[in-house]
Amino acid sequence: MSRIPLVVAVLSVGILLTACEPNSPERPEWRDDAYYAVSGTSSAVATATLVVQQLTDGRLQRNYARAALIAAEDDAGKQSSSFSAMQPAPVDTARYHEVTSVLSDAGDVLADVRIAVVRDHSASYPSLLKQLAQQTKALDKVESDLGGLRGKP
Amino acid sequence: MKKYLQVALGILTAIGGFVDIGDLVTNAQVGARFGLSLVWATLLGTVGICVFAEMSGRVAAVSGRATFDLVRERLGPRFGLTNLVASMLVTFLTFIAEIGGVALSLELVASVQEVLIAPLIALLVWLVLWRAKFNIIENAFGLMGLALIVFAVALWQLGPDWGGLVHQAATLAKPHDELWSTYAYYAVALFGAAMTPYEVFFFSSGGVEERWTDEDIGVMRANVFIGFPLGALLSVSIAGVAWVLLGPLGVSVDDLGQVGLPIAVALGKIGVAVAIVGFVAATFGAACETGLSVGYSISQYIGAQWGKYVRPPQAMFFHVVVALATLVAAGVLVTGVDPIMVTELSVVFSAVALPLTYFPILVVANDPDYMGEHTNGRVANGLGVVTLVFVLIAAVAAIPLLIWTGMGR
Repeated sequence: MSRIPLVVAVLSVGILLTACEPNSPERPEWRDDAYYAVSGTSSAVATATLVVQQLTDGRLQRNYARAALIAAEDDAGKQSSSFSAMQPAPVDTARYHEVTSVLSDAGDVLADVRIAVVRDHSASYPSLLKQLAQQTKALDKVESDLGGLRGKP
Repeated sequence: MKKYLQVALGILTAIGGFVDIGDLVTNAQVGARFGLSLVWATLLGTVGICVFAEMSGRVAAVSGRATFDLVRERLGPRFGLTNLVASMLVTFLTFIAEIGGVALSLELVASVQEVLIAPLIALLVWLVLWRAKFNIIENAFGLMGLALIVFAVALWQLGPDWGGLVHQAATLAKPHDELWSTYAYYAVALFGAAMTPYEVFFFSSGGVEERWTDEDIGVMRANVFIGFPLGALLSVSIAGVAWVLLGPLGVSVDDLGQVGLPIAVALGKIGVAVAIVGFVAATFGAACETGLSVGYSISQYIGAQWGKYVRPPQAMFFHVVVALATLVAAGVLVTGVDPIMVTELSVVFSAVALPLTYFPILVVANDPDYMGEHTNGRVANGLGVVTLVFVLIAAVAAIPLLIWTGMGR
């Protein structure tokens, strides 16, 4: 019997098994990815804050605000899902939970903001601005911690 | 008097038509992160596009043929095909990005997802390309694109530290938290956005459409040397407002909606409405120009009749190419691909294709058999060669920088 089918079968199983493995970057790359995910989400939260401020001041059309908020929420969602799909090193497990938690909280607030703006519920804008400010603070802290670790082994 | 009006109209349309989706997005992205420290790349790209647009316009005016009509004849079918494939792929990518840009602009008004609007926009673009006269396509969108002056007004209204901005532009001061590799990546992107290949396809073929002769060279030069640099000032204004307002907030630009937010802060709802008119005009105008450029370049390569100056049945191949390109572009956009990502890729790949686009223009403009007394002089050749050196550097660096920085992350 020819060995070719056997080699093909072994290679196929190998490729399939490799494909099942989550993306496991080296520690510095993982930290970089965490940093970029947090800073990207931070940018989405800053955008949402600016949009709600301008809506409150009557300086921005609601349709424009709605489109900008949907894009910001979408962007934050992409950051969160791509980061959480990466496998951290065991030593980074606590930081992984810290980052995914702050990304998830920010995503929730962005969804609340989008819902309120689509429903034209302007009475809730002041409290949403407060929540956005809290998220900014939390994201800034994690971003600053991760920024300090960049380039270290 | 008519001549002066013609010059004024040409300059105004050149200013309004200078900015497209690539300029809008790239300048806002760069402005928010690097301020005006990369303004030199826009300046370099503007000098380059002026030099080569003037050359290709002169070729069209003197020979009565578009530059790329002559490339195959002068440099042979093999080089002509390489030139066609490289430039065409980038132009087609830009065409997709521009249609997506119109959809993103209208999404800001209608609040309907761009993936749903894109096919309708593509249909509208095709109808305009099929039915509208060339000068209407060129002038109407160019003049409406002047609405983007709102970015210059907003910059003035925001009252930035002008001294700081000038210092940043003059000293190329990179923000300390950014990497040199990312700085270089965005320099290439800005250069590519300013020198997009379709601009010369459209400019030289447009000269033939409008039946330029050597008497029109003066007007053409005024359009290029006054209109393009003033258009580039709009690009710099977009970067300026992004730096002043989005930079301090840590906003990185990933969406067209973010580009207009500084206008809301500076000028309120009316300013935003004017900016949206500018977005739509700039992207729709550029979609028409890129769509026509796809048809021009393929038809010119195979020697088929082309252009809007003949009736559609006489240029059937040209119109079929334009229709097919529009259909495929719509098909790509309905897959849900992000138009901003297509835009980012188009400006970088534009940098890669630049040598193949611009080198042949230099060769043809130096051929006395075509150009007679209007053959390139020392100044044009000097500027052309210097620009080509930068073009080569950008082309070689573009892909490695794209990979190294993870698309400027």
